[in-house]
Amino acid sequence: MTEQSQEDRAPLIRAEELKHSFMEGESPVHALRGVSFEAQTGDVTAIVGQSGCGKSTLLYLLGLLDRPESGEIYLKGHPMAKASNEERTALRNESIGFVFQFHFLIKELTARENVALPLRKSGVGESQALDRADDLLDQLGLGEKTKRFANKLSGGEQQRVAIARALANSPSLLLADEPTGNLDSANSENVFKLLMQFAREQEIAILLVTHNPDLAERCDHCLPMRDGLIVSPGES
Amino acid sequence: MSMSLLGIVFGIAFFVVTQAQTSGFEVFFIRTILGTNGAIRVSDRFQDMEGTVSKVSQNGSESFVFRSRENARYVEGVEYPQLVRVALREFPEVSGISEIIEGTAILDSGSRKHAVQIHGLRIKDHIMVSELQNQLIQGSIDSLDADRSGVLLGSRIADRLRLSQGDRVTLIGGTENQQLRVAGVFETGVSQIDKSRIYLDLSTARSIVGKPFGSSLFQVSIQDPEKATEIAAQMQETLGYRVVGWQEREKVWLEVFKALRLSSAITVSSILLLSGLGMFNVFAIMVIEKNRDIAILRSIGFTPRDVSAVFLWQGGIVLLGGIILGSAAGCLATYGISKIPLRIRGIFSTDSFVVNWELSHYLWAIAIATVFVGVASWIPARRAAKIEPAKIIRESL
Repeated sequence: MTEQSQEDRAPLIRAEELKHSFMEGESPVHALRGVSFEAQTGDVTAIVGQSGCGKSTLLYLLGLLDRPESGEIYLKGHPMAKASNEERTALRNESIGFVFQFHFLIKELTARENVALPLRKSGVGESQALDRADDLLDQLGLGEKTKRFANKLSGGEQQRVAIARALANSPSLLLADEPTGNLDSANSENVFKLLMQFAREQEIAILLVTHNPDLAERCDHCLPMRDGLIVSPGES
Repeated sequence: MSMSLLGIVFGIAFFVVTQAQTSGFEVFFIRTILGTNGAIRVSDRFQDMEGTVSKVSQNGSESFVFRSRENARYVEGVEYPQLVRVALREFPEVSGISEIIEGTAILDSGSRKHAVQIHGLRIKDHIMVSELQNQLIQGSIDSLDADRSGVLLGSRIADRLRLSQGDRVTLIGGTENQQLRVAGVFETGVSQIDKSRIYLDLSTARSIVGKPFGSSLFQVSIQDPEKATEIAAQMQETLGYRVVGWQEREKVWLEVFKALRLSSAITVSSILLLSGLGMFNVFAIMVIEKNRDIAILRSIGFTPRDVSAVFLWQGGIVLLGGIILGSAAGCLATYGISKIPLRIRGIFSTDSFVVNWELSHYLWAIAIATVFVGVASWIPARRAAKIEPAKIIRESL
């Protein structure tokens, strides 16, 4: 991609002056104090910073799980802060995928059933959804374990199932909150490579919260955060 | 959850069984008293001789005014039975009319005497307003109809005086004695009637009681006995006589049955209530235990309604299972109970449990179970729908 065409592309997601706080026990936590940035499709952006600097909060706001106190989020050019709950829920299903540190699979379901969940919600028939789930799990190297219950898989395998679930509806934005934080180095490397591969192949914008500086360096962009603000590299 | 299902099954089954029993005895009692004393009884004339309906002219137009009979005084007996009979025939709902002379006498079998209540009547008329034909345990209606000196005895009178069909007895009345022949023995099941009542021909009864004119009362049957109160009120207004439907006449017993039915329904509903509470408890714990899964479902696009639906569906499945199994168990238990021997004599006569098969018992049980399970599922479902995914995920990390 040329530099010119890179500049011409409209950002997939854009945040403007996001501010947010929440209560932790009795005291308020000012998690974001005015965060602005944008991300393009196909780019992998690392969000780095110490614990409590607002990385996860930013991810939840961008993933439309929460509403900012002030500021605006534009997804594909559309403002999201005041969108209806129904609209935000539908967008979460169709355009956004989540991967969390602790995979958060539903243990009563098999790997393929976990992956098929977003597809079933979007109206795909059961057999079609399970076929798509099998395909995705196969691409992620779990073709032999699709019918295993989630809690019978290793940590790395569970995280790959979580990635497959996040990718099931071919989202344009993937939000990954320390997806390698709970994995050994081999599995971390494996998961990171898969994310990069999907970002490139499927033109997905990935926002990756990580504590791992090596992984952050290998991303297309890096957003260092401190005390609820995006700071210059080296300041985090 | 299986305990909740079991509770609903037992709750519905017990509800159906208890209602089938209590209403069974009630229906049997009503059938007995309708078959013995009829749906409506006309007796006692109002002291007010002006009639119940007055014609009033007002502003040139004429209208009829019904007078209230509250606190009215009555004069015993029906003075002009022929006129009353004609008037009663004008009511389209009336299906039978029986004129009755009542009185007391002593029945002498030769070796023993017994005080009896005379019911003088025309037997062919009376079988139209009662179940006397089916209550006969000896003799026949025709034998009484053919013989003016025939008498039908209550079963306990016959037992006490050791009489049977064909035996001769003497009836000692206030004005004269009569030699009678036992034409048959009847058993109503109402012990008070079976030990005191005798039926004999109307004219024979007149001479024994010493009442050549008039009669004591009319027993009337109607096509739909449920409408007895309404029709009795119309008859009372029209005839000027005291007219009482079976519901008012047997009010005390009917209220006892109603109270029994209600109290058993309340008691058994508590099983369903406990099942509902158990289910609520299970769901409430499930919402707490599964709040992370719920948050994940929300994060991948499931709506609050989808999350609620999970709990409501689970509740619905348990309820459906409970309804099917409970209704089947209730049905089987009701059948089984109807075969249990139970001898009852007094207000009616039965040798086994009396049950009433009625769809409404099942519908009520289902309705009560639905309300309890519905509330037990709906409250946790609503709580689950309100879970904020970001908060739960943040707290899970």
